[in-house]
Amino acid sequence: MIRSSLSYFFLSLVAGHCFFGGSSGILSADAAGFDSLRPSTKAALPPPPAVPESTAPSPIPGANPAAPLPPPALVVPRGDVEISSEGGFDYEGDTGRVLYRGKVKVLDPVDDPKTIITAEWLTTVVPPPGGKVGEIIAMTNVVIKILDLKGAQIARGNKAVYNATNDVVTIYGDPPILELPSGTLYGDGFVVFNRVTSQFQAPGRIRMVARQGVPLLGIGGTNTTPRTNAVSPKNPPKL
Amino acid sequence: MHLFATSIERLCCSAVCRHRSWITSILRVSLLIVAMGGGWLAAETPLGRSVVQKDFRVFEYYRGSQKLKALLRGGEAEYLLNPIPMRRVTIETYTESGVTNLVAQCDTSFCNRSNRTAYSAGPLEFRLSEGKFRLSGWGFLWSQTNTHLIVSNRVRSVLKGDLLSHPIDRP
Repeated sequence: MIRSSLSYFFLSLVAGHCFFGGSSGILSADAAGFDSLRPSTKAALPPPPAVPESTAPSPIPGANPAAPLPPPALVVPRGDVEISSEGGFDYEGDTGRVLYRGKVKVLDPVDDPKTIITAEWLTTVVPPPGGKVGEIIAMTNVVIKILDLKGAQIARGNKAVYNATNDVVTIYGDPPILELPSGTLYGDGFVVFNRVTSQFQAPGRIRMVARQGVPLLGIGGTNTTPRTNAVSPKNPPKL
Repeated sequence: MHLFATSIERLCCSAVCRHRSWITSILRVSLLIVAMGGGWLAAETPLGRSVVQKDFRVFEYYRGSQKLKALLRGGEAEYLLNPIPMRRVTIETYTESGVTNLVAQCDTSFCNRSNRTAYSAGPLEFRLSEGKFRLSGWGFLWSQTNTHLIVSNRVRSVLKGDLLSHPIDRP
């Protein structure tokens, strides 16, 4: 069990590396990758255009080929999301607010769910044509299951707010519980999951219960070779 | 003489009593006939004398303007009945700029003109925001005045990814 009383402790699990930061420094080690939650943005980006060696004239008259173009804002394509409920559904036309009641289940994306959310209530505002959904709020017994090739990570709380603008999920609870392959983390008020970078952040006082036999946050062990009963060429077995 | 008078009185009393019972029986029979006739008429109206109106519409406007807010439309409606049975029902809402926002469809429903509601226990499908939000369910109540829709059972909806995607500067 690790109990932290620092003013701001954050737990950051980055794809391929694990950072556990505080005032005493940063530890880093290899950890289970989380990049399977979302396709790599680098892979999704088109390859940079090859710059020819020769100074070819610009096809656009008056354009400066040396001037860097501003990076375009990308719209990451995402799959459809299915939301179902057993207790009914309300729609208010004046505000556009929709409310799902009773055993709500969210599959994101619907064809190959990487994120499964269950809750008792779920609400959002469906904008008029041309608009975008701002945020989705799930309430009461919220369980967010994030599936990965390495395993499942489960976040539990009593409220979760998904902000579609920055693709961040904030899980509130008393305390919010984060079940990782390496252990269970108890947050302080809320835990943040960034879907863009696949990072969990738990600010404030946190408590971590490590699973026995599993390196804590992927940190542990030494660089020595593990003990085995295999026959070493230097020490042949006595006959 | 006295005995004769007494016997005549008895006869008269029995005649009156018989007359009363006869009147009572007539009244009972007539009431039964009226009741049966009324029941027959009441049963006959929706079956035999149903008046079907095609393209039945109930409008709702934005307050203080002539802009259409909601429209409840039935391909066929028996508008003399209350509630009004409708077939091939469509519910539409519009923004103040006139753009269609909600389109809901179901096979049959009832329309209550007094409180401007429509309801059904059957399936309903509706879409919002140019079809980027689709929902299907069973059993609904539509309140035309405040454009409020309640779907009771088997709710399943799909949000298109376009509705959630925002332009973000990715690392």
